[in-house]
Amino acid sequence: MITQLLIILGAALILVGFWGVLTRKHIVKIIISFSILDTGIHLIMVGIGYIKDGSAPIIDQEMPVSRLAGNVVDPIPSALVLTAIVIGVAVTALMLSYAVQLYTFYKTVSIEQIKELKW
Amino acid sequence: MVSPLYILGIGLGIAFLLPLFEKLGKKIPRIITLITLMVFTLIAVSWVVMISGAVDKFPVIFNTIGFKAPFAISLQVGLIEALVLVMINTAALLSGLFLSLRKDSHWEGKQIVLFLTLVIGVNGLVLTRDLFNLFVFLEIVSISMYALIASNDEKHAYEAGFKYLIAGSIASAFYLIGVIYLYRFTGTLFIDQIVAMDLAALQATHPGLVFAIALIMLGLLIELKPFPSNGWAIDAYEASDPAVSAMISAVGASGVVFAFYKISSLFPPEMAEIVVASGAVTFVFSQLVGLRQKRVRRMLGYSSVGQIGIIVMIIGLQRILKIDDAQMIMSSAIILLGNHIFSKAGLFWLSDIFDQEQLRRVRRRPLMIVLFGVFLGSLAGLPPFPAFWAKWRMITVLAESDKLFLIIIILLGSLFEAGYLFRWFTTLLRDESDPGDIHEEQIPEDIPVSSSQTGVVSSTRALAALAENAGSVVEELPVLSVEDPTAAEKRNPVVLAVVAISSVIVIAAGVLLGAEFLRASNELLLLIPVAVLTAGILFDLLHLPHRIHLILAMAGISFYSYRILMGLDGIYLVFGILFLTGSLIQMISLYVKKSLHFGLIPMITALILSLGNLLISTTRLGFFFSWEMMTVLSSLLILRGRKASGAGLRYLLFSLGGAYSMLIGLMLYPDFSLLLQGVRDVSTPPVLAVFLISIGAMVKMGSLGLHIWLPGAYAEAENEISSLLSSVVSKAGLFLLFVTSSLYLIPLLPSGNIPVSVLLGWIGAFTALAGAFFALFQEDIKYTLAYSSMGQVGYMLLAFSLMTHLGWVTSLYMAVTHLLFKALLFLAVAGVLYRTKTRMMYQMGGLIKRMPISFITVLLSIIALSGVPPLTGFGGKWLLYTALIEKGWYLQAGVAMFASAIAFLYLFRLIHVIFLGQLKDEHRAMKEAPIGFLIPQVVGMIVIMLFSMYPSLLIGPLQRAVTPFFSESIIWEGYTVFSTLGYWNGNAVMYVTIGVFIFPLAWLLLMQRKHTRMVEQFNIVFAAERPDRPETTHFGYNFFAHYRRALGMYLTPWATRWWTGVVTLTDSLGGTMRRIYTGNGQTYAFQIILYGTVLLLLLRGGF
Amino acid sequence: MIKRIIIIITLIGLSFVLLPLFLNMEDAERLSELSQTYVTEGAEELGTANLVTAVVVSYRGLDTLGEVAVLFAATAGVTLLLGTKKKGGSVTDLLEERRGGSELLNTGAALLFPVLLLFGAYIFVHGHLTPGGGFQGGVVIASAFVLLLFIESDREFSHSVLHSLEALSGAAYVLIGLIGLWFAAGFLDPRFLPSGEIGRLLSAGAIPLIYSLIGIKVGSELIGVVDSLRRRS
Repeated sequence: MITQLLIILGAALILVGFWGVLTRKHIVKIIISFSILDTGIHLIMVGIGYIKDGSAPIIDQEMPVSRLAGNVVDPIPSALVLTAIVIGVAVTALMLSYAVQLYTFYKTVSIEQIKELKW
Repeated sequence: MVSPLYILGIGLGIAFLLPLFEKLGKKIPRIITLITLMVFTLIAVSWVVMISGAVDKFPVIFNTIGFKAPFAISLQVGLIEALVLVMINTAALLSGLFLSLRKDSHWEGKQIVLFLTLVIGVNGLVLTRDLFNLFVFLEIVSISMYALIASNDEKHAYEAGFKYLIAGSIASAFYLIGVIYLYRFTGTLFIDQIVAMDLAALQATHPGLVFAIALIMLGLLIELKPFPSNGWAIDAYEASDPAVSAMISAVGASGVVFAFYKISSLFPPEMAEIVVASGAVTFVFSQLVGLRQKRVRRMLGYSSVGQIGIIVMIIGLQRILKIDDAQMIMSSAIILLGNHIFSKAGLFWLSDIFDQEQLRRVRRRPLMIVLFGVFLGSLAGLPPFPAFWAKWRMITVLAESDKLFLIIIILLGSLFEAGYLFRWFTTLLRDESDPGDIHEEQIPEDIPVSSSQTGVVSSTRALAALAENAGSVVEELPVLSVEDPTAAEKRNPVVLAVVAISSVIVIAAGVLLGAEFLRASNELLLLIPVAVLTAGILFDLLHLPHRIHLILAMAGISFYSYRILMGLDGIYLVFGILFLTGSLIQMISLYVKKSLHFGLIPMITALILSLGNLLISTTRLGFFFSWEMMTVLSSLLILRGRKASGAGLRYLLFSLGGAYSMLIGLMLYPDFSLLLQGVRDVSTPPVLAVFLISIGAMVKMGSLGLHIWLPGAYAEAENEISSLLSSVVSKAGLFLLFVTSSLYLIPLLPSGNIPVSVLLGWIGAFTALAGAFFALFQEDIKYTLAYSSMGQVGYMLLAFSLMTHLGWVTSLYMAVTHLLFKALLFLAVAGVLYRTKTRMMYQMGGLIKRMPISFITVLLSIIALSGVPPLTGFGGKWLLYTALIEKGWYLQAGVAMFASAIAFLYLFRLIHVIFLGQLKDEHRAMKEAPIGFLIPQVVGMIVIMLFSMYPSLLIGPLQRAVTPFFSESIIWEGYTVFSTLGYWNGNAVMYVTIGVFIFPLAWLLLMQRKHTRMVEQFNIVFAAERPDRPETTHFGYNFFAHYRRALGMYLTPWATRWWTGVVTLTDSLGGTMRRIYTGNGQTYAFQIILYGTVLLLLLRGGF
Repeated sequence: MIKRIIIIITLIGLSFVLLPLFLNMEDAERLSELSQTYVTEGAEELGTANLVTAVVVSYRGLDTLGEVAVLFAATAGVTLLLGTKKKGGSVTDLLEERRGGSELLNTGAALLFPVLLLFGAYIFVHGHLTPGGGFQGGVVIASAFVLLLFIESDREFSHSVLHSLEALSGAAYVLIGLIGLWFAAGFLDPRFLPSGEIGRLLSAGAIPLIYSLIGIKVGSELIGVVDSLRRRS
């Protein structure tokens, strides 16, 4: 149930992200759309790692080692999503730097006016 | 064995520390990075050495953390990984060297850091066996590339980088979604574990599995720039610093290619087919679009994309083919990858050097030409470079699996690529005075009488237009008349050395591969031309004196000929003597040249040896290799001509087209090897194969319809080369026909009983006719001779296709005699041109007094050529008509006879206009041609006289050579030859002719003696000439205008128009195609998503 | 308009094709074999209480090293793009005149700064015990410096300190990896230090050390990124 919910939500965000990437003209909005897209993917990843009635895979008093199996969510997708988020941040930072440089050279933020290279 | 973790670990550690090292000194990071790259390379090399010692112990898996995969991420080193890493790391090292050594190098700070992370990322991509880890390394590579694109701080670089970022982010998104779902369905990320699973069964429980794999595939495929969603990548190639483009193309793309190969083991067959289609489409369309490209680096971008496309195609194929074939074809992919890495990087570097030095012309920079040629040749897949062998292997595998369509795609794309790459080459190489296209002298419809056109010959206007046209071919390299004087200061030999290393790698790899391929059939000897060429070029670079070099070369050829000819017999021996002895005699004329002519002797030598190799090759590969070598070398030799760039390019493309056509034929007909070995009862070939092989031969012979390369090539090449090409090299086509003669006996139509040879016969007859007609209307003496050669070879084709004993003897007889008199003519004319410095016949006249020996040569050869008694040509014509009539080909005989009559007209004009008439004022002090030209002429004349007097000397051996194929049809009685229709006695004909000639002459001299009166030249010759256009009143100008008027539309150059149409159509197709590259990053994003959607939909259709 | 319709059709097509991935994805009943092993044996093998950390830092340690490298490359890229000597003009003409921070912001930030630093350090030091770790801790630390920039937008951070921290922590991380290769079972193996008792701060071998180094590296890198973006504007 939760997996399905998260995946539907994630898929919706991915679509919104693609829509933004394909229709927004402002390059910063495009960058934001990519962030939305990324978030959607991360949601799906988290959703896929969910195990029915699972809690965080961390050992403490309530969750001794013996109880772990069957009661915690899958740690692998959590680990992957962590990496994916950091990579997303890195790409976003680079995109924003590009946006700054494009603005200084082209004096515009519209992607439609940044097309001197073609054919 | 060194753990690959050291590459990643130490590499990253050094990358992290680089900013600190910079504080120690500005140059320190550079040095440390270069050392690191060298260590990477050495580690990879050590793996290759170890693995080749013990192949069965590999691949080795290296685990991290101390847990086995799948519990921890693992790296794998096998032969293929090691090889790819050697190539990638070497290329990276060379890139690093280039970046540090080039003029005004700004390679410092973050650029070095990103360079290093890029290389580490690529190493990781190649090594890792974990799907998510692959993603992480992919991101390291991508991010480093995104940033490096901007490193030259140019407006366009930022634009391109941003587009690249958008595209890369979409690709990453696809990949990431795919990976997480694949984990969901399989419970692991370890590739080998997933491969080991029963994916088909898994698919039943998880319908999404195939789409998860498809998304992973798509993510990587997009990074590999499939057509048409690759505009962003091409922008990046164009806009970034060339050294960065080289890195992206050679290092970055290679890593992703390998990652794609790695995940390809997950592809179900349907997906593999889609990948094949995607790669093939990318290859052929990128090259098509590249045709229209004028900006050099963008052109290289299209080429890169295309090259990667073909590798993608192979990766798809190896999933479909049988396991053995898959391995074979994969090895060709690795070779192609290496070929691409080093030659593409080399070209990007060279383009940077051209920019740095503001070079518009490289004609006077021999080393640069060599490097440039090596890289272009290897990219275009010419022998002996690695790509040639790879494509051969690939095409062989495809032919065995009946994938003819893919073969055609590959060859078509290769032809396009050769087209634009060598157009770049010829543009850079051409002389200042070279308009860059074919510029046949045109005769105006009628001689203009109005005086308004003072000083403007209409053909010069045409020339100017052509020059303008050619100038626009490569915009970045506008036509400049002089080299920039400061260019010399900008030269940087050190950086050129780096580029040279890359080319040495390419050459060495090509030769080693060649040895590997040819060893199987014991044909290692075929590599001699390559060795000779390399050594010769080195000699030239070291300035070995021309004459010493020439003597060395001739001695070498003599030795080779001696060895080869000993082992030959039959028609092989005939052609052997034709090729080797014929060329050797003509080489004597090179002795006239005093100074060093870069590349001339090595290339001629290699060309002659390649011709010889045609005779001794015993397999399809060996034959095709020698054939291509011959093609490439002749076009390079043509390019040496001062105005030959257009002609050379045309020659190359036609010859390549012919060679590729032949290649497909060879692939359709594996028994070709048996034919070469002299076996005659072979299987019946498919008609298509016969056509394709014969097209290959006819292109080389310049048969009608395929001849349009011929006039320009023969005319614009240097005189010695023209002579060699027309008298010797064109016979290679004839040789191919003779070797494959049994093919042409099959019926033309499936149901009919007319053999293919009838068609060839007609083509030959009309080639003879057309050649004669074209020759008739030329002002340029070399064009006249060129068309004349075309016609003469047409006779040989006609005689050959009779497929009778007499026909074949005739064909060979004409081949030998044509060699003699055409070589004589070209050499004599070469002497004339050497002295007069013009090629226009109307600018000559009366040279008989100045150059008597040349006159006699020309006289003798045109008598021989025209087929009037008493010289050899008469014998040839007599044999031809006899053979034709014997066979019942009356119509063809009529055409041939008509053609001979026309030939007589242009020959008459030749001697009349040049040697008779009035001597021009400026030629008054002229001397006879140099001795080097005269020696071969005298030798040739003696031989002609000998054969004329004693035809049996020539016909006897030819007859014996042909006898194994047909029963005898001619009988000898002393020196008299009897056929079914009559007899010919060389002696008698000679005496009768001399008698017929001498008596009237004596009579005339006797009667006219009293009335002879000497006239001052100036009394008449300039009487009616207009000073502004003297040629229009020269009697030799437009000599046959009346015939031209009478013939009207029959002279329309239909073939030229047809081929121009083909070129224009292809060109505009490419022009239309490239409109999809709008330049808008958002459109590119849409194209990517659309591309992905379409691919996924196709896949869904497959399920 | 037509363009939009085509985009809509394409996106509908894409979602349609990928429906098998999005629908009927029920919650998994049990862990995959692989994660089952991690969960049951991870604590014992590595001594971490937070099993996600065990996966992140050890089992998939190469990913994390790569991730650090990604961030490092991105930082280098941002610096390269926005570095000082650039041909393009400035973007300042877009901006209005800068104001200093308000009283509320100044006081709040000054108050929060040490707390944030401490909190960030806490997060990465306890990464093997509680949710969080090097990346999260690094981000918190960087946010403390962003707060400082809110107060005073032209404040200069010492680049040599930032660079040294970044470089040395990264190199130390790699060195620990190599120590694992030499003295333990493999590259990045944290078990060359004793794993101790689960739940203690000093446990789980070298994992806390690695996470601390990552925390410092990420923190200094993100400060660098923010700083570069600020300088350009």
